[in-house]
Amino acid sequence: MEVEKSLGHFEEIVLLATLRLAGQGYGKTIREQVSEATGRDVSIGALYATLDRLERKGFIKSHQGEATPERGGRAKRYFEVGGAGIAALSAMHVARNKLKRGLKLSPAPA
Amino acid sequence: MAITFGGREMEDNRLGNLEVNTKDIEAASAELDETFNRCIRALNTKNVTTSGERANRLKRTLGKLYSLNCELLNLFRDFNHSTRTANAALRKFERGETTREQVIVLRDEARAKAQLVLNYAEYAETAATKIEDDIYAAFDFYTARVYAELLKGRSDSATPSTAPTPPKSAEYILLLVLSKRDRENLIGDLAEEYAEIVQKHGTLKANFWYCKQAATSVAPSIKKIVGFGISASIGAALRRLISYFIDLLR
Repeated sequence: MEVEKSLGHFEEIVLLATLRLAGQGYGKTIREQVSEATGRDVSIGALYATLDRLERKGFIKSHQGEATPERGGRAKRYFEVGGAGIAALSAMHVARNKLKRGLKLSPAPA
Repeated sequence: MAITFGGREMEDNRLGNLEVNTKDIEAASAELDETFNRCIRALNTKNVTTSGERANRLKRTLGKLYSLNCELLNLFRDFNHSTRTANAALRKFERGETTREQVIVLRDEARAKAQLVLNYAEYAETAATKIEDDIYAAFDFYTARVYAELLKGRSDSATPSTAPTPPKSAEYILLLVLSKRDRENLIGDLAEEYAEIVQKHGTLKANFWYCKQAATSVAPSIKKIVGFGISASIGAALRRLISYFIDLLR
């Protein structure tokens, strides 16, 4: 995989959260998924910066959705993981598994 | 909206003058005119930059809006003419110059045109609201804020905002630092979550959360606007400078 198209740690988490939402994910729901999984309150600005970076790399696609009164009449932007994104995730998974093979990750007894 | 046929009772076996309450139609026409003017003002706002196909599309949309009012006024004129003709025929009948059947035919024609003009007024009002929304939707979020002023007094917005209002100062910070592309979506996401927090924990906590989100979103947004290219160049320049000093020390 090219270096500029590799996945950072946070990018991988965002990509997985977007994949879980199966094309129905937008800023708020992706942020909720990430916060729930990591236990960290992720800023919406950081999330959008990452989503834009992933889109530039060709891992995700986005399209404008409907505007609702709860959002003050503003439109949603839905994100969907593309083929390149899935390929990047599985490459990451394979690399991790190779590196973990034979390692004991549980903490050693005191 | 209703048209009343006043005077004597309009039963099949009796004749009477047609007295039509035209205020509703006049009001509908005035509202269409006002909508058209609002859209013209919106399109002439200096913040609006339209060009090429987009500009042509908006002009066509505006043309449709204008033709709705023209058609309504045409139907209204036609209906008024039929009413005058029917009433004149009634006077002729009273003088024995025409038949009762002729008066009934003309009166029914006027009533049918009254119904037509009413139906068209309702259709035109709905269509005008949609056209106005389409025109506004074609512009970016900044421009939409300019329209907020123009929209004041418009009673029947298609998607009225029921959301509680987040702190304005935090919203302005976001408007300043966010890229044009993210503005609408990101602020919409925050507004949606803000409304949920207001409902669960009250306005104070929600305001605090919103301000925190705005503050923590500033750095990534600026970094994105300034561009990673520049960050990378600064990094490379620093690295070169450090290696230069290391070489000097050797």
